[in-house]
Amino acid sequence: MEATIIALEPILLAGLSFYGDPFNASDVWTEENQIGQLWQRFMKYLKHHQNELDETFQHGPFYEVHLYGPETESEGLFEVFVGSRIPGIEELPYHLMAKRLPSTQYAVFTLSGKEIVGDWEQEILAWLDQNGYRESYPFNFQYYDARYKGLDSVDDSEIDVYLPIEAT
Amino acid sequence: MDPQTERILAALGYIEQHLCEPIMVSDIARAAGYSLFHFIRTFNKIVRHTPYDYLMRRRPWRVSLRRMRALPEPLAGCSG
Repeated sequence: MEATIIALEPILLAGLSFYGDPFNASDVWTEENQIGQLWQRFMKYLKHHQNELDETFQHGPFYEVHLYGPETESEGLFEVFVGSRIPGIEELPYHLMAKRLPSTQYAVFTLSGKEIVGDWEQEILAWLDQNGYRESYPFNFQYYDARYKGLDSVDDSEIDVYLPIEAT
Repeated sequence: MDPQTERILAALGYIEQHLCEPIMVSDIARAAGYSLFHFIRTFNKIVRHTPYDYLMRRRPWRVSLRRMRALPEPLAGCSG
């Protein structure tokens, strides 16, 4: 697995959030799990408010952020946030929540086809160990642009995974 | 048996061996050889319970009671 190292300024997102075990009592790689339902809610919001929203916000790229906390290791609970970029907090639509990702260095991995539904997190963490890095914040995000064709066409899709890092 | 099921069986075995210890879901994921995220996804798919819910259901009630009351007794052995 190859990575590109980049530094990014803070990223301000507007979107929707879920906290818990997103795969509880659902088929795991279908759109019926909690992450899939969160995307459906967000996309429905974009459709219903298309006349009020900025083009870039509506059409992406889109972000899926996984945020880990004290209950993640012990109970497997974490936050999933899906959303799109906004230029400033004053642009936050009142139905949505904001998430501001800090300025930091990221390792960026491109996943193709079946890699998207595989255990990429394990491979990424191994890559960090082997290359003298550790996570600088307890979150990562998946970046979805035109290269992603949907779960039904995952073989023809690509996404990028961003992991905040610092040197060990 | 497919490798995914084998790994989840290893996780279930780990839970049975450590029922009386204060193990975390991340410990069980490591025993299965998965990252935490992928483990939660795979465990739910095969067992139809969240890993934490399964652990709580399998854990003897006395251990759970001690945890609820935050009693400082050791968990090993599950006695008393």
